[in-house]
Amino acid sequence: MIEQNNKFSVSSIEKQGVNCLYLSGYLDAHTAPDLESAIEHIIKQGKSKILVNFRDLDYISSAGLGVFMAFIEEVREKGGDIKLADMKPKVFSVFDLLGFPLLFDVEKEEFSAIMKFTN
Amino acid sequence: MNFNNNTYQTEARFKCDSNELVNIREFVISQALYIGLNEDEAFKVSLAVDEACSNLVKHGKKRTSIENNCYIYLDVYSNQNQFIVEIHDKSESFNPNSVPSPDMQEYFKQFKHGGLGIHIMRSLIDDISYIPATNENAYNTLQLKKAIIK
Repeated sequence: MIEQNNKFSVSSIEKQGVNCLYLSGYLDAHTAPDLESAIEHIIKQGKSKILVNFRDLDYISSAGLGVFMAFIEEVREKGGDIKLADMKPKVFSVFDLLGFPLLFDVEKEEFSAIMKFTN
Repeated sequence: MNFNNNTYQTEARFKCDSNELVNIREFVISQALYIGLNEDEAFKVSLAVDEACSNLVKHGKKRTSIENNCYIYLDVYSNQNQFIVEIHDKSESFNPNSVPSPDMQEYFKQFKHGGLGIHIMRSLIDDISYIPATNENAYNTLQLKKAIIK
């Protein structure tokens, strides 16, 4: 599944039972609903292990952070998690500014995040 | 519309629409770099302005009558020490300084979401002031000041 506009896209692939979302472009109040739809789509399929790869994401505002907060409780209650990986320093700085690494597992690489799900 | 004595730089008008946020950020970054902020500081100001304008789009648009076109006006100024962005709008007045900062430990514990935009603005900007619209001036003004580090 791919949600796409000219400023943001999110694509989804399943790897080792983990639903991996690949973000690119700008995640702001305009594009956040696309990510929300993508996560909703995974949860509706009964899946709750979600990895978000930020490698190609250039920007995030609080609207983007809010999407992860909106789903984290639900997926953890179902025994899953939303793990975050491969952020550019500028994107990580926004997560870090508000202390999000206290609540979310932020990994440098996708591989190590998937391992945390499977181990 | 400015309420200071700083050197005038430039102004821009954007529709009160989330689709414009990317253009608003690009405008602020280009002006900040031109005035002398480094890339990191320019990014911080653009994020703060994005948060302020996102709130206007979310809350302001529905409060403004449909007949009345909804616009956000940005004025950019500088003096020797500061880069200043003023955001003007005609929606219902709302002073972000009236909102207390959240306790993030509690925020995470209760899995809250939303309401972080003003907190981000405060974390990134040196001084935030607000002048609500009056009978004489129909525009609210939010002023964001960022020190120019030389």
